Amino acid sequence: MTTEERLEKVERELAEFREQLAKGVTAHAVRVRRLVLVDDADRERAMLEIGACGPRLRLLDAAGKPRAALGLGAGEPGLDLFNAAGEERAELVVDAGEPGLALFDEAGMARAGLAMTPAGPVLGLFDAAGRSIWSAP
Amino acid sequence: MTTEERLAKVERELGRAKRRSRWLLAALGLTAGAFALAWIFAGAAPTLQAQVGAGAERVVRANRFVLEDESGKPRAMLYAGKGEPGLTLFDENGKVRAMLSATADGSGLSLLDAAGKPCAGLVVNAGGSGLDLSYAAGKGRALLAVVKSGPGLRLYDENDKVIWRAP
Repeated sequence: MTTEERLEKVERELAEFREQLAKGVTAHAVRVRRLVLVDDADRERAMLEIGACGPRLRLLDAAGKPRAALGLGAGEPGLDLFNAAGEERAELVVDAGEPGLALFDEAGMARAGLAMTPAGPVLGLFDAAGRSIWSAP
Repeated sequence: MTTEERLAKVERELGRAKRRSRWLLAALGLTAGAFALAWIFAGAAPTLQAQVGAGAERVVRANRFVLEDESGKPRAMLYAGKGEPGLTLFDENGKVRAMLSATADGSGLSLLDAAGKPCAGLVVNAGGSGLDLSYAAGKGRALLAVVKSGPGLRLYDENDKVIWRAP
């Protein structure tokens, strides 16, 4: 094989290789312990991982603050939403078979909640100290 | 460096790159499992980050991503089966405890108790959107929804009788 032929072969293979990389990697299934998505600046923005209490999906903002999480905490499933400071402001959880939706203020106090309890469903509003100010039924 | 030497160097580098690529592609299949990920990241816990197409779009494509715990049990699955993507989380007993999905009928989030019974559902479909909470022991239900006729909140007792409503 002449130098010219070798050069043509290398150029051709390199072009094919680049095309393959541009398409990405395709597979039917990928089994991992942690899956991380990074943004254009290589910051971690989403991760599917095994936390201390079980699997969870976490979404982070550009500052690295958690903004949303869906996972098992203490063995119970829940969705948590956070503000820009990384403080939890809303959660939808199941605790020992009792589901509930809670909305929190900036101090982290639950100010509104809709929950199922052993006594039945309850809708409640609370003051900044956590005292009930309205409820139904 | 002569042209011959430069060419030989390019050939060697291309050969190494191709071997890496083949290994990565093979490892991303079901059979090779986590071995490829150890190559990508030398850490103890296999972690997958897209490492292909450096300088361009970095993408790993698959029909299904399975997250395993240390004992190899599936604990989470991110999938796109039949065009309907979803995320399912499993507890250590293998029970489904959370499902986030987008189907032709609608999209939603379901949280389930340890027995696998749905307790909380947040759903959006052609009929509207709503939050549905139900107690595992069957003691009532709370339903907050927005449908064509407007928003509404209903609380039900264990006999499925409305005990409070607004409006």
